[in-house]
Amino acid sequence: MEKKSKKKDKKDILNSKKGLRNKETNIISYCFMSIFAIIMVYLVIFNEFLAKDILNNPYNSLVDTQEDNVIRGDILASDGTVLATTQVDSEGNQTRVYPLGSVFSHVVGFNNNGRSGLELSENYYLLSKADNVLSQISDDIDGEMYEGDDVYTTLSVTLQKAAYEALGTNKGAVIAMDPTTGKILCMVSYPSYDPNDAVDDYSTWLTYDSDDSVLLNRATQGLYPPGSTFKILTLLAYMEQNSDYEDFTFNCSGSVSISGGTKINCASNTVHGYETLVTAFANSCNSAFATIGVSLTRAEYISLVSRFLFNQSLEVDFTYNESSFSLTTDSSISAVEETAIGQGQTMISPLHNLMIASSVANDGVMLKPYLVDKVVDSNGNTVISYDSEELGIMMSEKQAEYITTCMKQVCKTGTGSAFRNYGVSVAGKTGSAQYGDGSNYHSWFVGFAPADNPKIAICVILEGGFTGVSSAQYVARAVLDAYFGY
Amino acid sequence: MQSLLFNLSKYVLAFLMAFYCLSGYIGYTTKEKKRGTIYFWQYLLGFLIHLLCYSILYVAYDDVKYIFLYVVEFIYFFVVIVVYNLLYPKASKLLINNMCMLMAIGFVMIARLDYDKCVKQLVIAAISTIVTFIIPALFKKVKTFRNFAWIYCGIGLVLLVILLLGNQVFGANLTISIGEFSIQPAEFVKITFVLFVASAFNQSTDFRQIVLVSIAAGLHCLLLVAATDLGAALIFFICYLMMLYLATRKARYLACGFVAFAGASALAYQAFSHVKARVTVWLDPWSYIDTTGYQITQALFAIGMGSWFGYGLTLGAPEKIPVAIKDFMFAAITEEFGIIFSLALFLVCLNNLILMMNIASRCNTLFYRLVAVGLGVTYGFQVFLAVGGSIKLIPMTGVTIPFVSYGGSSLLSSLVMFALINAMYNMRHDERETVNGKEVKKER
Repeated sequence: MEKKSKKKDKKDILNSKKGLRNKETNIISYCFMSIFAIIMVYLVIFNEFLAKDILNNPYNSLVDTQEDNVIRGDILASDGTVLATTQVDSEGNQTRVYPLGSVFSHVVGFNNNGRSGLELSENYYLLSKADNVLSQISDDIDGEMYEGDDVYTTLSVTLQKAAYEALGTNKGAVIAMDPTTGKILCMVSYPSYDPNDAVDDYSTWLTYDSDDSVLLNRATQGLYPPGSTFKILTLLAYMEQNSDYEDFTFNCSGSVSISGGTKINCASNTVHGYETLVTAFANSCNSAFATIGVSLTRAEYISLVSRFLFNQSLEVDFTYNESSFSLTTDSSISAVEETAIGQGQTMISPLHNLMIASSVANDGVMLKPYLVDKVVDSNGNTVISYDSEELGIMMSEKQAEYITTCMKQVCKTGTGSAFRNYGVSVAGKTGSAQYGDGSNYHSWFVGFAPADNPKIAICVILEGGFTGVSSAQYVARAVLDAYFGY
Repeated sequence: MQSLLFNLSKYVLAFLMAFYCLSGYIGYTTKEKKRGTIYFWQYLLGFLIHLLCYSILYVAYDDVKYIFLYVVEFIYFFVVIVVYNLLYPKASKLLINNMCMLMAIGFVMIARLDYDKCVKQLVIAAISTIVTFIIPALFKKVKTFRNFAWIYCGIGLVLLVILLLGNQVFGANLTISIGEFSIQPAEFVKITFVLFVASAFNQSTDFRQIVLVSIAAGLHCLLLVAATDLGAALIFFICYLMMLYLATRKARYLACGFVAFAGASALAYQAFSHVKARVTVWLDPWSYIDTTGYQITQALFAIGMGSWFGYGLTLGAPEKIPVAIKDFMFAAITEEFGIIFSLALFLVCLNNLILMMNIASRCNTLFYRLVAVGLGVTYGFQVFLAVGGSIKLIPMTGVTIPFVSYGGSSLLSSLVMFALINAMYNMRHDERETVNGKEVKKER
């Protein structure tokens, strides 16, 4: 009897005690309160902390709706020199002014007829006011315009000017960074344009074809065959695959013919004679490096190049083009020979080449190059500041040290003749990259200084047909002169 | 003067909305007889917010048609409130007020994005409301609703099969078109599904019945996943789980359910490419910003740019989010009204859920209680999916916010659901009266 009534109680929800009766619906309510609370907390966190990082995105066209309410912030060099500012006349009309004009054209960009450079990538901060809600309300009541945040770049006016002057009227690019932090010190591309004229001349700029385009930032978007600068990676591959690499010797006869491949000549058919690995690199000996290239285990060579971010994102925050490397395990022997000395199908941007040289300078660790040091609001408070970011360990410290020795030898006795008896010891690699039918060539230099305590890494490219300077290394020297005060 | 209206209205609106939201919770904790003042404040705040929004639309677009729309909407809300008061004086006024508040914000935002669609939405709302007026009365008169379990199940499955075939044959996007109208069957299956599970568990909760109902419920979900309506499949699943828990009062079913959920999700992820695609975009929309990630990244920009107080109505650019009017209403509202406003709106939705659970807890019959919980969970989880998806906390499921987002089927089914809940609310009074009546008799 008792059992029966118990059973009945259990079955009949209606007659159970009130507390018990509400248990399930209460639990469901609490479940929903919790998941709703998660959404609310997330939304607050999103707005306070996460949004900052995502809103500064060129796809965020909503920022433009602010243009009428905000006086666009300034872009400044690392020493505070104004690179871009907005002038407001008595009627409230805004004019964007670039005091240094074409010297900073590509890196700073323009903000008329579209946007480019930092004007594009930092658009959100330039048009934002990171201020507290109360002062925003008071600005709303007064109907006053906000002042956008100022962007402090990592750029040095001295180096930028020196690089711009050294390039002269040659097509090409100069890019330099602090290899220990990733701060970009200068970024010049020529032909350039005066961003002050964007309103009138933009349509003319668009008419140039890709060879002459003034809008192309050659430092980050230009893709060139790497020439002999690629021997840095071939050298590293040889070191990785042969623990006795220091015992390497080669006898150069001015050219080499490997069975199954094409004949490879040294530059001007120079006969380098007996060489060690260091001197073969310093002489930029094509015969030696083509031989090394063919001797390498192909798959490991390819994976090393891939580790150095070829065919991949460089993960930088500004516009650039990806470098390409097309060697496969099935490629012909002549393709390997040419790739090993930097000819063939490989294409690289000056920015990427600088990153490779910088990773040698920075004990093998590749850092992310960056242009923006910090963003500061109109009251002088820092809104956001940026720090060094590692992209990966590219080689061991010991390997980096050895490659540095090789690169020092380039400047001491090898092809880097511009740096003989130079004020500081420079580690570098020159390159001449043939293009088209092979009769003309681009001139490269990558390197860093001082070689034993690197402060600046630099990469210069001069497109074929340059005049007034004998090769890229002299442009690099002019920039280093400016940096070290010679 | 005009710019002052624009610049300050967003702060005023956020304040009014927060206050309205608060009134709902105060109302919930106040005894029913003492809620008079609360109702007064809710009417005042609701109509004030509505009026202020339409004033802004009128001033901004300088077009009389917004005044026309405002007047018609005002009459609509007025009629809804008055008719419910007259026909069903015992209906939950808090719930009805919240419903009107949500619809008002929805109308404003739809009108701001697309005037013609707002007119259409209003017409559908008016017709649907008239239909739903009879539901509480119908439910009270006809007691046999609880006996048709497998008929509801049959209707639901047939509708879903039609939907699936329609998708595959005509490539229609979760809709069936009949002449001018396109219907989203899944919206209505939500209701038949709740009625099915409620009636089935009302009959019996023995193991055999649970297995049978679970299979039928699983079939619903499977058809929905196959028809690419992930959001609805999830809602059905959670709804079923909660109803099962309520009917059996065994927490272990919940645990089993969530284990089954994890397994089913993993299977669906492997088996259906569209599930995989959604998860991929959710994890990293930035890599697909040009294509599949475009919508969600634009929504995130909208929310982030809106920040606490928004751009102000008409001053943002919510039209930049693709299909903002349906899937991303929350982002669009946040962009122009700000996070404080949209959080208040979100809390009004939670208020609805709590009210519904409260109604369920007071129902004296298992069937009514199951229906109330089923509908409440369906509603609450739909809001969660819609808002969670638009802030990228969970993958996008294409679910809309009931009453706020544009969509005739969604609006009609939401109105029916709320009318059913009100029917439950009515019912528990009636039942208590009869119980009291008996008690009174006994005492005599």
